[in-house]
Amino acid sequence: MTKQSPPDWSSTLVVLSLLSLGAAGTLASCQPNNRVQDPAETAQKRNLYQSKEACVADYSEEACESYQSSSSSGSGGVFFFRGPSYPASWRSAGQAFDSTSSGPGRAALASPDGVVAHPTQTTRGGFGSTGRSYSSRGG
Amino acid sequence: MRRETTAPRPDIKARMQGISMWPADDDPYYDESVAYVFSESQIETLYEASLSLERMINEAVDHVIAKKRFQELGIPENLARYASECRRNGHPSVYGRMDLVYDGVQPPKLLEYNADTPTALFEAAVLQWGWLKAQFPACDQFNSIHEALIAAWGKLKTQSGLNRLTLTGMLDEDDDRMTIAYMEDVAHQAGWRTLPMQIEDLGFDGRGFVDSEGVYVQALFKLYPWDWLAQEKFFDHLVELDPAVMESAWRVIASSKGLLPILWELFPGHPNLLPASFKNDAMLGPRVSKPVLGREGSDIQFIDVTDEPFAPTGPYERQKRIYQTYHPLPCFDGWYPVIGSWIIDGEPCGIGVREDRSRVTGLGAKFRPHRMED
Repeated sequence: MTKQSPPDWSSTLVVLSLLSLGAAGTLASCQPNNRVQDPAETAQKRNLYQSKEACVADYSEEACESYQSSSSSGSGGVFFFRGPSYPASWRSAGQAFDSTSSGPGRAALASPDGVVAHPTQTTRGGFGSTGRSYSSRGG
Repeated sequence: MRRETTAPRPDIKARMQGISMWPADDDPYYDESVAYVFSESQIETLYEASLSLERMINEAVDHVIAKKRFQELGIPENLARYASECRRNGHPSVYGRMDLVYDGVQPPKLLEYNADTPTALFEAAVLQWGWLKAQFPACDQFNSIHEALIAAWGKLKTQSGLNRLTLTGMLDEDDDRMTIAYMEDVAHQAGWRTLPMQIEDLGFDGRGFVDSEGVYVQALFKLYPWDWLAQEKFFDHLVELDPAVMESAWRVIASSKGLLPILWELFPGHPNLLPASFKNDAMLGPRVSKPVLGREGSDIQFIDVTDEPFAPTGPYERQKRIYQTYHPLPCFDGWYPVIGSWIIDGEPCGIGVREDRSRVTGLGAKFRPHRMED
C-alpha cells in the first residue's frame, strides 16, 4: 500500500509522434488530414523521439530503435529514435481484451515508415467547457 | 454493524496537511475519530449483493442497447451510438462505485451506480487502510481496492500493448485532483508511463489527440462525464478515432439513474433493488425523484416523504427524472451512513462509508474508516 513518487519525466519529453501509414511517408508530407480516411491507415502508431533517452524513458532500451526518415528531396531525412508499434484505437486493437489471448505487444503489428505529426497543428480546448459552466453554477 | 468513536492517528493532521486534505477549520472530510464496524457475515452480504448487482447491471446495459432505450436514460443520440459500439466491441472497465443503503440487517439496496466518474477512491483505498494498520493491526477490512486497481491497469497494459496513459479531468477541483493523482499512482505501479493534465489542455492535431507533451494520446483516463464530453467540440473526433478511454462510453448507460427503473423491470422484487419507475407513480409510496444524469445529490426531490430532507440544488433540475421508492438511510448517533461498494474490473473489492447529518449524502458528508470483527 505504499505510494511511490513517479519520476520526473518532464526533462526527457517527446515533441514528435509518428502515425504509421500503409505506405512509406516522409517528413515533407506531414500535413495533418482533417479526418481519418481509411481505418487501415490508423491501425498502428509509433512514437518518434528526438533522443534515445526520451524513448527509453517511455519504453526500454530494447524496445527503442534508431530511425532515419526519408526525404522528399532525396537528400536523407531526419534521425530519430522510435518506440514499438501500438494500436491507435480500440477498433484496431481488435480482440485486445480477449482473455484467451494475451501478451505484451500482441496487438502490435509490423509498422512501415510513417508520417510525423506537426505540433503546431494542434488545437486545444475542445473539452472542458461543460464542466466549467457547471462548476460556476455550483454543480 | 455499529458506529464507534475511536482515537485518530496522532499524526493524521500532519499526514493530511501533506496531501492538502486538511481544511483550515479543522473539520476534515476524511475523519477517523469515528469508524464503522461490520461482522464478517455482513461484509459477505455486501460482497454478494454487489456481485449480484454488477451482473444485473451488465444485463440491463445490454438490454438498453438491444431495445434502444437511450432516450429514457437521458443519453443523446450521438453518445448512444458510440456507447453501443464500445459495448459491442468489449471495451473494458476499470472501476465503479455502487451506493448502497444498508443497516446490517436488511439486504443492501442499490441507490445508484457511479460507473463513469466515481470519486472518494483514495480515502477508500489508502487512507482507511492506513488507519486500520496503525490502529487495529489485528483486524481486517473489506479492502483490496489498491491491489485490484494495480492488477486492472496491469491487465489493460498487457492485453492492449499500450504504454502511455494520459489522465485528465478538472485538476483544480479537489475531488478530481486527488482521484486522478491516485489513479496515476496505481497505473504507474502497473507499468504505465503516466501523464496527468487539465482536460482543456488535451489537443487534437487532425490525426490524433495530443497530450501536454505534444505526444499522441495512447490511452486516456478521463474523470469527466461522457454526457459532458458529448456536448463538446472534440467529441466527434473521439468517436472517429476511438482511442482507448477509461471509463469507456458504455459506462454512461450503467451510470444513468434511468437504469434503475429498467433494473426493476428486468428483476422485479430483487432484494437488492428498490422499486423504481419512469413515472411519478403513487404506487411507489414515499419516493425520491432523481435527475437521470445528476451528480453529488443535487436536484433530487422527495415526494410524499414526511419531514422532507433537505436536498441541495444544482444545474440538473430540468433533466429527465426517474422515481425510486424512498428507503431511509439507517441512523447511527444522528448520522446517516451510505455504503460505497467499489467494483474493480467487474469484482467487488472493498467499501467506503460516508455519513452525513442529513438524510441526503451531500458535500457535507464525512468519510469514515471501517473494520471487521468476528
